[in-house]
This record gives sequence, C-alpha cells and structure tokens, in this order.
Amino acid sequence: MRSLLKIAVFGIQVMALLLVITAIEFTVFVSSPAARQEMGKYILKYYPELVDGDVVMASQEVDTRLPLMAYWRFYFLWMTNILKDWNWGYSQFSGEPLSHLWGYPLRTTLLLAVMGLLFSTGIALFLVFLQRNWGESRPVRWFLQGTRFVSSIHYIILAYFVYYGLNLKNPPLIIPVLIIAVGNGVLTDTLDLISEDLKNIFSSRYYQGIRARGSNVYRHLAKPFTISLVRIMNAKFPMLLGGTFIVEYIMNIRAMGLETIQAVLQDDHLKLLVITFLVTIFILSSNFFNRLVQQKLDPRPVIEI
Amino acid sequence: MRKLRRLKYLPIGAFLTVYFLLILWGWLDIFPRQWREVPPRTIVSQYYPPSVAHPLGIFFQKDLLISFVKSAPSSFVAGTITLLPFLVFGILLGVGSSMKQGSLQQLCHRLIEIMNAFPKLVVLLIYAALFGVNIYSLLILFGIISAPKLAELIRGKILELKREDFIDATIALGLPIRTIVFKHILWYHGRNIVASQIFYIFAMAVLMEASLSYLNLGIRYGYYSWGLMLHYATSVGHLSFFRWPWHPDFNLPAVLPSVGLIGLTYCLMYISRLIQEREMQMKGIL
Amino acid sequence: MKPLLEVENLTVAIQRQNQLLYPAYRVQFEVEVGEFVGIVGESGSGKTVTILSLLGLENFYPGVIGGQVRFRFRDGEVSILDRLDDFVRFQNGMPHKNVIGWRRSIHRISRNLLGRKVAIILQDSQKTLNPFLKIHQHLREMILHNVETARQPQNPPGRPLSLMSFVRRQQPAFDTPVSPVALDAVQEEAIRLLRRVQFREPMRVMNAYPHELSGGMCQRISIALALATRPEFLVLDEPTTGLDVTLQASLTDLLFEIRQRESMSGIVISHDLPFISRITDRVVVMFSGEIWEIGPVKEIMHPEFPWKHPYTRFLLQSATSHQGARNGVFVPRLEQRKRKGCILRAECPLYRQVKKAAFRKKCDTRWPEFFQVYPRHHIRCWAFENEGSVK
Ligand code: SF4
Repeated sequence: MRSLLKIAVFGIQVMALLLVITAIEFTVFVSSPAARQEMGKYILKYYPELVDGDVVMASQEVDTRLPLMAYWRFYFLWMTNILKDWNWGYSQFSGEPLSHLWGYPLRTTLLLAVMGLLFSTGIALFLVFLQRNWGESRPVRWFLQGTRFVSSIHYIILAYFVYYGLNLKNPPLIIPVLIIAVGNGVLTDTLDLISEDLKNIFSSRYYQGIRARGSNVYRHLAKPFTISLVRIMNAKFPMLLGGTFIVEYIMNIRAMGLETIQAVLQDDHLKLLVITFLVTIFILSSNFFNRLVQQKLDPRPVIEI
Repeated sequence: MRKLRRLKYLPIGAFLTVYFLLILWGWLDIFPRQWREVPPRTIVSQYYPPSVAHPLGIFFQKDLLISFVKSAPSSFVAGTITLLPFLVFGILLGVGSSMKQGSLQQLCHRLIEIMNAFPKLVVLLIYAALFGVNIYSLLILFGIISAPKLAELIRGKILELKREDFIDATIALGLPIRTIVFKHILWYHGRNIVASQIFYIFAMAVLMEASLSYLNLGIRYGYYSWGLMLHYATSVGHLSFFRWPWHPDFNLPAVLPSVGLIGLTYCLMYISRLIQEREMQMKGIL
Repeated sequence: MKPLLEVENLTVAIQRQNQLLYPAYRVQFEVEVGEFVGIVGESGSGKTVTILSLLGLENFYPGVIGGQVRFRFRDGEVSILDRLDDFVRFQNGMPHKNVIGWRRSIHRISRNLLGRKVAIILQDSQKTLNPFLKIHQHLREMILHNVETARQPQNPPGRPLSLMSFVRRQQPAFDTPVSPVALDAVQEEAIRLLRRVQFREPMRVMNAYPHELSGGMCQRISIALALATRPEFLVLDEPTTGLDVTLQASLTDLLFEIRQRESMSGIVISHDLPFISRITDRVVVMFSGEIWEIGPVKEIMHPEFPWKHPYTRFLLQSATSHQGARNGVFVPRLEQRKRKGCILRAECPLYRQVKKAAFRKKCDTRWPEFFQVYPRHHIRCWAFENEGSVK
C-alpha cells in the first residue's frame, strides 16, 4: 500500500515537472517574434475564438502577432486536448496531425539512439579490454590508433560515404546505428571515459584490499563498474540523440531528425514545439533511470558539497 | 629507432603547418586572375573536371581550389569564436559550482546539469528556427552550451585539491581566495585540463560549423565552408568516391573538404589526448 | 630448518618525471617458521611498500624491478618474482617494465596465495573493505575460499557439507538480507569468527556496510577475514594505528593469543614500539628504503643493550622521551642512490662525536655494510666494523 502511494506521488511529481518544463519551453518559443507570427496564424486558423475578434487575417503579409494572453489560453487548450484525446495539433505546413510523430519517427529515433549508445559502449568495452590485456603489442596499438582515427571522422562524411558512396538507397538500420556509435568522436570519448573510470577503480584502496584478500575481482567490481557505465551512458545520450538527427537527415530516414530539420526549414513552429517536448521527455527519463540505478546500487552516503 | 620515434609527430605537425598556410592564403586572398574566371552557368553540368586554367576544376560557378582555400579561415574563425565563451562560462561555472553551499552554488550546479542534458545540435536547430540568426551567433551559443564539460572538470579538480593540505596552508598564509583559486588551483594544477579541453572544443566547433553549414543554417551569401562544399557535392548525382581520381566523375568536391575536416579534427583530438595522458602520468596513475 | 619466507635484494622503484626514486632498495631478510618479524621505522621509510611489493600489490610505475621472494609452505615452495627479468629491461640506467605482462604473470601466481596461504591486513581497513558489499558478503566469500575451514567441528553432525552444497547456497553478488532463521554452516562460522574478534552482536555487524562501522570495528573485521582462511603466513600493516588505547590493548591481546594458538608466522609493521616488542621475535629497522639493523627484539628494544645503530637508538629515545629531538632529526626521504657515503651522516651522532679521521673517511666515501655484532644481530654501520670497538 505504501509503495503504491509512493509510486502515485512520484508520478504526480514527474507530471508536475514535465508541465513546468514544457511551460518554460513554451515561454521561450513565444518570446521569439517569428514563432509568434507563425503560431498566431495557426491560432487564427484553428482557434479563432481565442482572439477577441479585432484581428482579421487577410493575407500572408498581415502581422499576426497576437496578444500574449491568447498564446497562454492556446497553451492550456492545447494541453487539455493532448490529455483528453491525444490531439497534438496539426502541422502548419502540411496540415497532417502531429500525433503521428509518436509512431514511426519516435520509434526509429529512439531505436537509433539507444542502439547507438549500446553499440558504442560495447565497442568501447572491447577496446578497453584489448588495451588492458594486449596494450603493449604493436598491432593492437595500431588498431586502437586506427579506431581513434575513424572515430574522429564527422557524421556527415561517414554517412555521406556510406549513403552516396556505397549507393545504398534503403540501408538496413544497422548502418546508421554504427555510424552514430562511432563517428564524431563518440567512440573515442566513451573509450576515454571508461578507461579513466577503470583506472580510478584500479588505483583505489578497496581494489587493493580485494586483491590482498584474494577475492573474486569480477564479483566485487560488478557494482561500481555498472554504476560508472550507466553514468557514462547517461552523459553520452544527448550527444547521440543530436547525432541521430543529422544522420537521419543525410541518410533520408523519415524519423525525428528529418522532421526537425524540415520543420526548421519550413517554419513549422508547432511541430518544433512538439519535438522539443519529446526530446525533453527522453532526457528526463534517461536521467531518471541513471539516478535510480545510482540509488539502488550505491550504498555509500551521498556527499553533498 | 629514436629518430623514428621522433617522426611520430611529423604527420600531425605537417598537417597543421599546411592548415595554417591555407588560413594565411585564404585571408590574404591572392589568387591568379584566370582562376576567378569561370564559364557561364549551364543546367547540364555543375562540375568541370581539372584543367590547365583551373587546377582542381570548377564547381557551382566557383573554382574548387579557391573555395577550398577560403574555407580554411572560416573553420579557424569558428573554433576561435567558440573558444572565448566556452572558457569564460566554463571557468565561471566551474568555480561557482565548487564554492561553499549557497544559492549561487546551487544555481551554478543546476545550470550545469540542465545544459548538459540537452543535445547541442537540437538546441542550435531550434534556436536558429526561432531567432533566425547568422552562423557566428550560433557558434557562440554552442560555446556557451558546451561549457559545462569544462566546468565539471574544473569542479572536480577544485574539490580534489580542497582536501589537500597545501590549500589549507595557502589559506592559513592569508592569501585572498581569488589568488588561491585562479593562481594556485587553476594555473598550477588545472592548466593541462584547460589546454586539453581547448583543443577538444576547437575540434568540436569545427565539426559543428560543418554540420550547420551542411544544413544551410544561418549562412550568408558568399560564405565559404567545407561543410557547405560537402552539401553541394551531395547534390550532384553522377559523382562518386569509387572512381580513380583522374576519372571525370571522381567526386573531388566531396573528397577535398572531407580530407580537411578529418585531418583537422584528428590532429586536434590527438593533441588533446596527448595533454590528457601527460596529466595522467603526472598524477602517477598507470 | 629452512626459513618460511626469504627476501633477497628486493628493489622497488618509482618514476617521477625522468627521476628514479627507490622506496625500497636491496631489502633482504627472512622469516622462520613460527616466527613473527616486526618492521619499524618512520612513516615514509618504505615499510609498507616493501610488503606490498612482496606480493605484487603495488600500484605505481615501475614497481618491483629486481630481487627474489621465496615462500616455503608446508606443501611446496613458491617463488614470486621468478619471471621478473622477462618483463624488466634497463636502458641507460632507466628501467622499462612491461606492466601489462607483469600484471598478468603476478596475478596468476598470487591468485593461489593471497587469501589462502597468505593473509594481509592493510592499513586503514575501513577503506580496504569493498564499500558496495555488506560485511556478511565479505565473510561468506572468505569462508567459502577455504571449504576445509568450514568442515571443522562447528559443522553440526548429520549434515555433511560438500563443495556442491556450498555452490548451491552461494548468494548472488547483490545483497540479500541475512535472517536469523536461515543459519547455515557458513553463517555459523562467520558468527564464530566475529565473536572471536570480540563482537558482542555479530548479526548487527553482518548486515552493515563498511561505512556504517567505525575504524576499530573495520579493523577487527579485517582480522576476522584474515583468520577465516587459516593462513600460514600473516601480514599486519599498522594494525593499531588510529585506534583508541583500550582497543589497542585488547587488539594486542587478541593478536598475541591468535599467534600462540595457531602457530602462524608473519610480518608486523608498526611505529608502535611497545606493540612490536610484545608480539614479535625479531625486528627490522628501516630508514629511507633500506634496512639498517636487524636482530632479536629483546636486544633491539632493550635500552641498555650496548650495540645499537644510531638510528635505532634515536627511534627508541623518541618513543620514550623527548630526548630524540636533541640528537638531531632523521628525515626519511626517497633517494636517487647517486651520492657517495652514508646518507645518515648529516644527522648521525656517532659520526659527529668521533674525531678519528680514518673512520670518518669511511662514512664519507663508502656505503656502509652489514656487520654481525651478536648471533643473528646485524647492523649496517661503519662504527661496528670490529664489533663495536668504537665507542
Ligand atoms: S656509517 Fe657512519 S654516518 Fe652512517 S650511521 Fe654509521 S656512524 Fe653514522
């Protein structure tokens, strides 16, 4: 019973946090004149009753910047629509319902980002393993240097090379996942972070104690290493999400990235707002997962400095 | 053998020298007149292969060599513009968030957390869509939102040093707090971190500038950039990487900026890594 | 009878920006069966480094670069640094060590040694316990190391313990609470061990994390962990430092009793001279990474024993009174081993008192050698070249 209550309280907290953050984002949007203009058009088209009636839209050139209150009324109406019948509004450019972003685009982007994260962590772990066990031998060193080189290549160039060079018009999803996992220095960065954390663990006193007692090192280091891996993955997630956006654009995958860039180029501000909300939700949930893991696995008291 | 070991840094040094020469050339803007004379635009072909008058060919009404050379300064400018807000905000946030408990420290801490959480490219895209600005202000924004990385490193360093005795000794000597933080901590112990981050952010800024100009965001007419060259190179269908370089359909307009970008970012990341390893060695960690 | 542990010419180096410093230089001693050897010296004189690198636990570069360490257990002989030469090569006087290969090699040897035949209690035990695991998980692991231990009389009759039954009952790495109902043989053994190190409420301690306990409790738990495997050789690194006086006394009694009952051999490191004189048989005096005197504890600790190294005399004096400060202060330091003569001569009272030029010249120009002054009592000092003729 108490745990149910806890979960309910927690859910309410998360919802409140989401509402506050989305309200802040909406404020930022409304503070831009261009967005006010475009969203004014949208409000006049779909919710004319929100405006007092003295603004009449005649043509494209008319100044459609409405009074601020109208935007806020629109915001609350929009939110209630979302909560009531999952109506996220309509695209200003093509008129299609925006709730379709929750389907294929969202799924694909999440798949790309999360798989990219897992792949980059996996490859980095393998490289760390190589480095720690055979790091002295010359071929391994060359191999590591080679991966560093490949990893420093920009997403654009890697994706371009694969997409235009190999002439793959409909590539399987594994190719963009690999590009996202490796390019733009992501792999190098993950590798460095992991090996630095490992070094810190290996130079710690308790590792020395574990060795001195002759205990099973893998069993003892499972928890600290999991914690640091989750922390690193959480830190890398935003970067990979940004990476998926540009890779999707180049490889022409109809997911959030392509939608975003099209929305930017087409001045589709409501779509941008929805996408911003979605990204916020991803990041909040990833952070939340990270914190949960830290709380569950780390028994040490939190040092607040 | 020793000579060979010294030769290890030769490729990187050579590339950076060539890069700086290109920057100089691009700034001085000295080109033979015949390079600037291009044939009138036709619908059929946007790309003319190399000839005597144009050593690397013509691409979209411009001599390819001229656009390649003139793009070098813009990548350098992009890095430099990003660097200043990065350093200022990074150091301020880092020092602020490692102060004594208080509202300012909490604010800095939360700011770092929030800024770290958002994907940088997405923030830049939305900012460009809302406020419709040029590429330089986007790069300044990029410098600001990537500052938390430096801030966290500086925070870690300060917190690590706070526990050591010599800081207590300096406090006991009566030195002012700003001298301790900026001279004893940041300069004596933190300069390697800052230096390696400078090279890293420079590389990231070059990549970000290429991304933004590839997406055609915030670019004025007459702007030269390797990302822009790549953007145009993708729009010509019959060109390909997989030909011999002397074939008329070899994709030279894409290869040139790729070489520039890859070489530059690899060199910068290598130097950044080198400094980091030095720091590790000085700490005595294996 | 051959000694249980033989250390020959153990040299440990540490690299600091193109400089090579030696925290331990040509250390040489042995431990007989059933004997406890104490190592005394100021902090920074290389005591801890010596015993850590005996067993490949050092974590700095390049670490051990030379020497030989040999254990002779009841069931066989183990040489630890046998393959060291394959991994260390010298170039212009600087050692280059293949750390990765060396780590793999030493792990292979020490895996069968540490926690089985050799138990080490490191200093500052609170930090050496794994902060992510509870105490009962530590204890359970150490007990399971040595199934034979659990088969001792504590095992209730009619319930034979096989290896498989232990494997089946082994808990996962993530914590499961110990309920007082589910007492199995391992837990009984754990409780017995905790009672042995004077815990009144073992169940409370078993369910705690290391950071929830005090330093003294962690120290006693480390001792319990070391005892769990019934080692033949015990290494204690500063066991009494940081404990309050009553605890120190009870710990000394405990260790003394354990020593008597289990007939172990071992090494004890401490600056606590009364503790050392109670628990050990022989004493090694170290300073600046080198051994200066080695002999029976009764002779070295006796204030009126005539033949004594000036540094030992200084140590004893500073332990008992403030007299030591009057005779100058010895500052241990990491040496580069380049200078000529005895490094102690700047502070050495003997060197200052004696006016004989021939003797002083030796101190100035040549590194002192070991001289035997009594049976099994050696001193590294030129003053004892003819068994204490200089007074
Ligand atoms: S050798 Fe000379 S200087 Fe060194 S301790 Fe002996 S008497 Fe003193």
